Amino acid sequence: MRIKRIITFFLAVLVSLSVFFTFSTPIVRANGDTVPTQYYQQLDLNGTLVYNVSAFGGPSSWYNYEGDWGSKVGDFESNVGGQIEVNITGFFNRDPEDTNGDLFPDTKMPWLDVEIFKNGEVNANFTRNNCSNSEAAGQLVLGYGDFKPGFLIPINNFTELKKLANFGSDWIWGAAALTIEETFNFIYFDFAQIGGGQTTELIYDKQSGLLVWANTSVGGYTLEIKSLNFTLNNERTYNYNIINFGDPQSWWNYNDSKVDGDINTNPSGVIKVNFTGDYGKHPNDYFNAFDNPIPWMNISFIENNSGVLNKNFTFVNRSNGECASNLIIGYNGFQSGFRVPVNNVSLLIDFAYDEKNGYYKGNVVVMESDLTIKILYNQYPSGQKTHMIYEKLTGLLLWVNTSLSNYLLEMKIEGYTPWFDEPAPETGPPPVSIIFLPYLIVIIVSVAIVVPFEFNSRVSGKSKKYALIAMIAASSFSGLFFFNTNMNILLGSSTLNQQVNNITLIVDYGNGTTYESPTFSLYAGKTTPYDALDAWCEVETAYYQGLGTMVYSINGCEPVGGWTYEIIGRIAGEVTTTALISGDTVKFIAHL
Amino acid sequence: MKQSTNTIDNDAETGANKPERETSTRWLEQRSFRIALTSIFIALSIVLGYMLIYIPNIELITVMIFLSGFVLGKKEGLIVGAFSSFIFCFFNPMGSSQLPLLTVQVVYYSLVGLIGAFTQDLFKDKQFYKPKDDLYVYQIMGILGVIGGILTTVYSIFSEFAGFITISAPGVPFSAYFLIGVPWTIIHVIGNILGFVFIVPGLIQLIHALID
Repeated sequence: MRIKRIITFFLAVLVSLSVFFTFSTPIVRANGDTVPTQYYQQLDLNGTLVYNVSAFGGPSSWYNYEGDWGSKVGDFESNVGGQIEVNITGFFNRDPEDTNGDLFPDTKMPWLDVEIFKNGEVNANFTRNNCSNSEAAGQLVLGYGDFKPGFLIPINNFTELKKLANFGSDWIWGAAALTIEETFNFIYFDFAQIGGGQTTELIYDKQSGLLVWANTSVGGYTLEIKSLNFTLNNERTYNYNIINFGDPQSWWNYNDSKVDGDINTNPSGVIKVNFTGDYGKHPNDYFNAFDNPIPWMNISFIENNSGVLNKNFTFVNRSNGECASNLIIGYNGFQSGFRVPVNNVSLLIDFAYDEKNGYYKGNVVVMESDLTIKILYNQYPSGQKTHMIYEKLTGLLLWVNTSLSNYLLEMKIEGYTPWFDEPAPETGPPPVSIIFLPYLIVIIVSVAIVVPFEFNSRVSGKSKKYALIAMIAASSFSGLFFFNTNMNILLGSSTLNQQVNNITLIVDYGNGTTYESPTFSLYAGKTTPYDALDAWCEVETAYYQGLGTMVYSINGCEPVGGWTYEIIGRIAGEVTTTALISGDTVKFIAHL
Repeated sequence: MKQSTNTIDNDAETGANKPERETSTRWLEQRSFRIALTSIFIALSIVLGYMLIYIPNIELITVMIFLSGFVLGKKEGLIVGAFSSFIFCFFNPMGSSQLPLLTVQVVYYSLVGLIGAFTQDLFKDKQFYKPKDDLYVYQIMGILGVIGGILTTVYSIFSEFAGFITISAPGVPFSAYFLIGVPWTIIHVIGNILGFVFIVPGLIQLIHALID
């Protein structure tokens, strides 16, 4: 009897506990008012995120997670000039109907209200209240496969995030080529489905985790949006870690036109920058050719003395032009300094190229990645060398390596790894042995067939002669055919090299004036004779059907007989498609 | 074997092979036969042109038109050259030639037919010209090779000039325009030399064998 009571007691306790835990566990939502630690803590849960639509192809349908295949909520449509408004309503557990899930955790995920507007319409074309970020990402195609970052990403561990993106790209329904780039402010994901289909590019603000820009398409659906909420944070201090620093540098103060003193720092030292706003240029900033307004800033120089950071100098509210000029972060009128205007990147690049012909002439090469612009200036024939990387979306300086005489400064913004062109193996003309191998094979095969025939006494002399002629003809035609089909390789018009070094440019103006550049390098696949010329000269070209691109003006010189060019020592093809190889000398000749 | 060769040579010297020539001539003098052969040459030229259209710089039109003039004579050579070149160049899947180039092409290929006929006139009384026997002798192969090379070089210069006029590129000298095409011109010239040296003698022999 006692045993029976004990068993009954234990059973009652077990049932009570299970009932207690069942009802104490929230079914769907966690506490949504607090931002989980992995997300940006200053996230405004009451604010509205606004995205301008710059491309839309649709309409498309929005499905929730109800039922096996989801239930249609409605159709949504936008257009160029339309908007998408997003409110983050909180952080809750995954929708219980979302059984497939994604690569992000099932708990404490962002939930949103989404409104989609067409251009000029006050009322939303489509509204979806209280859906998970995963659902929004799936319906708007802001992710790839099971990687659905949508409008907000966690910011505590970018290494882990990149791993998730990699997993996502290996989707069971179609793998994608994934490109990831990271700068100081942004992280970029580019998924391109192998064999065609979906392409999705996403840029997130690394500080807030919010989606800044997206360009995605699959089937007939296309969406390109850009956040109106993101601006460069002027309240923030931007720390540049010193990699190399040469002799102390005099600082010329534009306000009173005198030297403030010698600034100094050293490797492992820091330059701190606080932007104070954008204003007009200083009247003494006459070198600077950037349009007003330009950034102004407070700047501090800190030396690292055996691990102890000591402030060397601080200048308050100095213009970007003054900083650029004193630190030699720019060249000629391109005094780019710590920030460049990026409202029109193409114009900026044109400006960078134009200034190679400024007071101190030099060679300029501009390279681009998805998030950055790299500008390389090398003064001719020697002197200043300034290489800089800027963030495309903000114009912020990320890295600089500049030198002139005894002055040297190389620094990078904290947390950023500058990219360099990986030297790729060069693909010049193949070795002579490979070029002539097919001809050798043809000759050997011909001889192998003809010789036994020729020594066969039962074959008449005429037949032997015809057999020999047939073999010679076959060898000649096949050799010609092979040569013809491989002529582009023999001419050097094969795949362009990513980088070539020790290139020399000679421009013969035909009147006794000849310009010869120092040896230089070309980068980023811009390695044709045209690129070599364009790196040093003002060039004007025209394209003719069947002929290709022809140079008709170099530095304003348009000779009556035009311009021809040659690559010394080998055959030159069309000027914009011929691949240069390291060590080439390219000569342009004017025909007066 | 030597004896046999000598016999043929002796026959040629004494005019013993005259009846053979007369057989060929008899067929070629028939108007209907000449019309049929002219049409076949035009068709062959065009078909071979289309067949090799996607292989740049290599063509057999010149060879066929030259051969037509060689076999049929001046008038038919001109007709085959004019018709086949006009049809091929005007109704061309790669696009019709512009008027200056088209003019050059039609005139040039007509002249190729004519030159084919003149070449036959040049050869017909030569001892080494034995179309029933063997045309793969160094004199014939050499002369045909030289003719093929000169014809193609002349064509390249004039056609490049016509193309140059068409694009009217300011500041681009003809020399620069021509130099760009030199590697392809060389291939074209070599291809046609090979065609004239190896294909034309064989086809002349073949045609003579067929009509006898």
